Amino acid sequence: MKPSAVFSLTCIALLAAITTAACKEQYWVCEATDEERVSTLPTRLSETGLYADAQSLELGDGVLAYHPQFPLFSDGSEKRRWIRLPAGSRIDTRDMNDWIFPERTRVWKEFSRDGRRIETRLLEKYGPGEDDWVGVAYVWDASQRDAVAAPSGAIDVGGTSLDVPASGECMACHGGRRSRVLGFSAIQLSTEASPGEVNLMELMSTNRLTHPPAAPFRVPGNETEQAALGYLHANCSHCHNPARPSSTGARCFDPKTPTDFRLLVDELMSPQGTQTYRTAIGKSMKPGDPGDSPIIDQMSRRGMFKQMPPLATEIVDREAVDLLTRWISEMR
Amino acid sequence: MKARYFTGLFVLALSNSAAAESTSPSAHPSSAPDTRLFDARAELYMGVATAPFYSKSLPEAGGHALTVVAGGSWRVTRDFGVGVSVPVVATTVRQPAGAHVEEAAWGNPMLWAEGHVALWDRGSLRSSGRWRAGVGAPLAESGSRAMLSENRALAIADALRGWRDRELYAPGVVPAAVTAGVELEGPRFRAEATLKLVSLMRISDAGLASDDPRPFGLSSVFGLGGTALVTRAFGVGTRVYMVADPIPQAESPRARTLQWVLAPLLSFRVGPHVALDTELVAPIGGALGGDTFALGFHAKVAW
Repeated sequence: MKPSAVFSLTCIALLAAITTAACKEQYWVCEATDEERVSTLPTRLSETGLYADAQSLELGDGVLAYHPQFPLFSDGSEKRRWIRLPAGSRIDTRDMNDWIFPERTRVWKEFSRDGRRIETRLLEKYGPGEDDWVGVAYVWDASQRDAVAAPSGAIDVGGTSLDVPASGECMACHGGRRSRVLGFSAIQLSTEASPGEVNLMELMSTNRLTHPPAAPFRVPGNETEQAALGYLHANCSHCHNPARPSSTGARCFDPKTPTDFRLLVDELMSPQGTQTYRTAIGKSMKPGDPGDSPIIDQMSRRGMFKQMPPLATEIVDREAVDLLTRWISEMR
Repeated sequence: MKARYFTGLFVLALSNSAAAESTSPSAHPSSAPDTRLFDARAELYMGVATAPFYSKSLPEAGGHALTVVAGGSWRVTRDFGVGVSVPVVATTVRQPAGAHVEEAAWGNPMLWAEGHVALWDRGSLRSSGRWRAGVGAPLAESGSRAMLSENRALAIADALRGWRDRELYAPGVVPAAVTAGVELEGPRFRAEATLKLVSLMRISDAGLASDDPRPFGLSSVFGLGGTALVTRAFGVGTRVYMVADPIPQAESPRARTLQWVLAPLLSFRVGPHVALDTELVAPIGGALGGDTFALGFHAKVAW
């Protein structure tokens, strides 16, 4: 065969391969930001209702502080969280694993580094539908007096390595659960509340749940098992669960694997009864062999390929790697 | 979806051998069936890039891209021709937290004229000069001020080609480019040196109002290269480019003054009418080094 024919065939094969790859949907490709929807949110944090007085940082009417018992790792940022439910409204808790929030609910999360506020993220439920959520991050100014909406996100904010997500990225994580609010749930609020914070008991006693549970929930197992199951629930289950709300667009962090890291309220009798043990043991984790467990390898990576989690982190969570290594080592 | 649409368009274009090219003079050894009256050209680059971007909150733009420049030319006389190039870009733009969003954008279409001058001829060794001058329509998309999506897609495409064709991908400007080159051609080799100057006259802020876009930008590209002709129809070569922006089109905290680009290539003449090249774009050091790689395909059909 002539060299020119070989070259032509090679080019055609390469182009076919490249075109196929380009057309194939990638799991990390998300919906673009709905700019029109985002533009309905206030341009300044001080106008969102979080603060009654932005200078003194006194909270606005109806704004409740809370903290989840298993926080999401955010590259070492300190975080504070608040929620505002419309006056007189209740959370639909018929599905105790995925609460449905009333229209006009607002949820905020503030990220700080070294005592300086970097960004505050806002999620708002703007309509009655389960998918009617919009989010934007507000980047704090140098004077720390107010923060300005950044729909396109920002990189390395305030001289830190913290990247602020674009509005379109909010649902990359939050879109993975029917409730959309990941840290304000029955499992996450089954914890002691600090002074001034709300927890599950407080929500029950103030009649904010349509179907209150009999009591708070307890994650099963010993201390290591509880921490490991809780970590996977908080950091992995919004992608790794088979009950992700459907999307008409790109798949966007929908791994389509059978692994399920959720903690479900009716499966807390024993660690072995949880979805993690039932779907991931033997696959993501090899009992007694953390060195051969893909989850440890992927959690220990950062870079373009195969890092876990795949977004919103540039630093390996060493504490979590140690925790899961210990947990897998002790598994029999 | 938009990106996939443009990918499909490209495949259609290539399958019809419709084509394109940048504003550099016809440079590749196989790309010059020069005695023909018309030609159609296509240039495709695929790769991954991370480039400085002109926004304080987004000082870099990164992602994967497929760029296509389609066009053609008409040889008016033996040594003078005119042509057009139309750039389009399909990308997945990396968002700050790591998700990607598909984005497609048009670049600046260019109208150009080019000429060829024989300098001397000593039998098997001859030298010639080439020039090209082009002006563009300021149609490159910038997207909304809030998102700058198309802006970023074009920045990625610009980086993918090693910043050698800024006139194609700068939004909000009337671009003009002048290139001059000298070639030395022997029986088994071809060597060349080119210098391109690109002026970017700003007519809109391209969504960067708060980020200091300059009223006028100037970019220069100096290239040196050589190709060994292994057979009559097959050549192997490499080029080195030095890209400098004496006047950047806008401020970027991550911009550097100098960018070196290494571009090895393979060239084939496929029959009397078709020329194909493939080129690896590998920025060395500078702002693009280490994060940007691309594979380019050039196709030219002349008749």
